[in-house]
Amino acid sequence: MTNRDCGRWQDALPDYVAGRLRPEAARAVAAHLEACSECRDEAALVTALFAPARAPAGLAERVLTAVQAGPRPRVSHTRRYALAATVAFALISGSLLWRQAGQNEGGETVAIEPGVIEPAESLLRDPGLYALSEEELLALLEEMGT
Amino acid sequence: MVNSTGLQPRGVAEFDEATLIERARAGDRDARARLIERHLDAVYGLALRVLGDRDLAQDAAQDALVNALNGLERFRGEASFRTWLLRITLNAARSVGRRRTRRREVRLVTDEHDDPRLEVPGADVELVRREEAARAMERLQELPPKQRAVVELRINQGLGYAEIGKIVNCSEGAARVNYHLGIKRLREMMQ
Repeated sequence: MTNRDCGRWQDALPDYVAGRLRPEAARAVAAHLEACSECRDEAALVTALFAPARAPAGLAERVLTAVQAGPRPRVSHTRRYALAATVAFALISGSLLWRQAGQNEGGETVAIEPGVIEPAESLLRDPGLYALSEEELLALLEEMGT
Repeated sequence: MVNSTGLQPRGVAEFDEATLIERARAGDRDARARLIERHLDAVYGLALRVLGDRDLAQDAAQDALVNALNGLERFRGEASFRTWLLRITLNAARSVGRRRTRRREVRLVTDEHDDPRLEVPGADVELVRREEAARAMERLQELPPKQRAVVELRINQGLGYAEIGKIVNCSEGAARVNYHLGIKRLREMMQ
């Protein structure tokens, strides 16, 4: 048997299963469940899903220690993207240099043009990268990887 | 008697949450510990359902609480502290999920240690119940993260759709639809 008001009853099922309803409301839901197989099936699923998690032992202490240690150092967004662009450009430039140093269709070795080298080297010399700590570099690489 | 955090129990237990937040904002260790104690299960529970992995959930819970308690100046009281904190938790869970290789292992939250209930008459009923619960949790991981979060917040944390909408950043109506769609999909997967 299904009931047009099943949406209303199904809305109440999480609170019914968890014991959060007042007694009279719980009795009303129970009475509906006796008559409605659709809602009974859904109540069975909600019951299977009802498993409030408890934090593992020791987590509270670890969290408090981490909180007391203060916020982790973060690279600012602007700096992060600027440096990501720097690294990406350097990688692309490096790739172009590699191709430039290869052979042309005639099998002749092609010389590297100084104009292509200079921008990559100047970017690699950007003090921003060298000023980063190891942690900041790892955070930047993770960001680029996502 | 001192509890495991080194605090005297009930030291600031009678303070309301606004007072705890003010004190925590000023760096009061006891107040911070109380806030963690009050909200850690909810934070961990949401992270666990979204990530489906206990270790990742612990990382996300820690990240969320560190961000929240070290950034209390950002809490303006427009929503409840729990709502604000759970929104941060959802973001932390997403970050952790993106950063690490996702493992689809899901374990029952009741499986922490041997349960004497399994050695008494009626234990087979309990076993069936646990197996059904494990199946449901596995299927839950196949829902989109937002639906997982909504289902967890509605069923296990008892939040209304208005509050859920604030946490997952959608309207109350959309939260209700997400919940019912999630449940409908789960029912189909469980058949």
